[in-house]
Amino acid sequence: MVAERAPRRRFGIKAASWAMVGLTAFLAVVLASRFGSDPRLSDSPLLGQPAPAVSLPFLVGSGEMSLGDYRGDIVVVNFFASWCLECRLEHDALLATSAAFAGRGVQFVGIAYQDEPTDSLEFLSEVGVSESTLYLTDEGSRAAIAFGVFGIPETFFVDPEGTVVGRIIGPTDALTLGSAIDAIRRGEDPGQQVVGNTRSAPGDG
Amino acid sequence: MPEAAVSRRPALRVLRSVPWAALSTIVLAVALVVSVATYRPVADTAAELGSRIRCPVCEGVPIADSPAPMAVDMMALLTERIEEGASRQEAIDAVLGAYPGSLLLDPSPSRSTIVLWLVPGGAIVAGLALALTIRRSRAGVDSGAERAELEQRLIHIHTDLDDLATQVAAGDIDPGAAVHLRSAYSAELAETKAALSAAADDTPMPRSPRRVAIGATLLVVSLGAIVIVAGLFITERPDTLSGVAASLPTDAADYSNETLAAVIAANEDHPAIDGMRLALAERLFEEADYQAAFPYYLAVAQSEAAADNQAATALTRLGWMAYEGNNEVDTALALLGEARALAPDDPFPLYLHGLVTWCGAHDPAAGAEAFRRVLAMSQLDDPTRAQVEAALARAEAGQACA
Repeated sequence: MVAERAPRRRFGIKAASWAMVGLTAFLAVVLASRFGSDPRLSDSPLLGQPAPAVSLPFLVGSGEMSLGDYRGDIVVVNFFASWCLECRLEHDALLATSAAFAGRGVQFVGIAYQDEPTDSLEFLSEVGVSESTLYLTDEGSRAAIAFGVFGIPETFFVDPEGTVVGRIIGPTDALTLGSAIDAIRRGEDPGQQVVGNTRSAPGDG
Repeated sequence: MPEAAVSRRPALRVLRSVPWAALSTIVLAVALVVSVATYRPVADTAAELGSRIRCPVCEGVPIADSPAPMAVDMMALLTERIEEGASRQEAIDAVLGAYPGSLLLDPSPSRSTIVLWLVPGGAIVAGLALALTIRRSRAGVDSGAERAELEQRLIHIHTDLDDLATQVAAGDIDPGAAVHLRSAYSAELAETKAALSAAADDTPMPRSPRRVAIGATLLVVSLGAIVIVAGLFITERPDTLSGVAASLPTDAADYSNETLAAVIAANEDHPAIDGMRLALAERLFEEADYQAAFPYYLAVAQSEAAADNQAATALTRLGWMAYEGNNEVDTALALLGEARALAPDDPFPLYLHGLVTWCGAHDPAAGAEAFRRVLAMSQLDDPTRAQVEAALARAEAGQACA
């Protein structure tokens, strides 16, 4: 009876030690993996979901548009602002890609994020206005919140069925944009890509 | 009696209704107190929910406390939804529906957050286990001290028994008392031995090298398993890159004409863009979309960065398009001549030069001469050679070109 008790006690000591070591190692691995990771890079829960049903006023002129108006087309939604340096870097690519796909079932939409309309217009007049892109304002950040924008530039792709199938974080280029559109045309989801830095507010950096 | 009954009835009614009235009053009072206590103005609810939502553009600050415009807009949306009668969860969903769950400061249990929920319980269990371990370890130390004391006591008992035997032999003690003492010492001796035996059973055994090796192996294997299991909770996340993404494709065949056109338009000054221009132009030429191909061939032909073979190809195509599309014989011959100058070993511009000379300039002799020079080149494949030989035969015979 007494002889059986001793091993049990030794087992208890070992179990406690193993539990401590295991828990510490587990936490170390999990926390270390999270250390320094950027929550902005998390996969958007919007991917695979219907595009937000937002209606936004045009940047120039009256009236507003809804993404649902372009059902049947691929819609490329780009969030930009006049204060965003990275938006300047990608602007030529947006102009070129929008022009290359104009009239071919692809509609580009530019949404000004946290930007005064006059500033957005001044920015566009400086870097170039795309005739094949619809520019919209986003009062109250309703579209930005609905799309889960962390910072800009961010670009979303909506397939002809109205599902969000792609997201590019950072200043993109014509090849990345065109490749995503090519993928959607083939019936594939381009998914999420991180291509560079974004900024959340003027002076952010 | 009936009169009395009638006269007492209202009083009875009042008396009977008193408890119900009291009860109703109490219920109403409780309901009022509860409703007052639980009533929360919209602003309070929004502020409380806002304190649970991390601002997406700030560092670890709830949107309720952040002055960032995005956080202010989120709070406005939250308040609006609550005013519209949305439930708390619906209001949160309206704001966070498109954001990852990590923005909720108290995320609900899920695969990715299960660690957060298990850690407190695990820590408590581990703490208790450790406390138990320490306590038992101390008990082990006490057991060692007790054993030493028992051994000392055993020595004392043996000494007492020896002394008793000496005293009995010397007649220094009464025999009756000696028997009584010996019995007492013997009982104490048996009791001490039993206690010592029990203490000896509790003494830990020394560890052998084999056991240490097995333990170490198990430790390593377990740690590996922990790393793998922990990895299941870790989402693959891309690194943040700086700058602009790579701008030119490695293989033009992987992309649509529109994508190539966009890449070319966005990279007009790129030193390697002529290869892509030519690739797109050739693809459009193959599709017989000469109008779309023309500007890309022209851009390559005029580019100072283009390699000679690239420019020669572009000039050859432009020359043929000038003749075939617009019947511009002189322009075609000039362009083909430039191509031949850039790529003298390329038979194709020379062959086309022969065709234009024969068919456009109506000079079969000059055409035949060009065809003969083509046939003298070594890099012709059999079908091309056969085609050129047929053209040469017809030109030499003075026939019109087909």
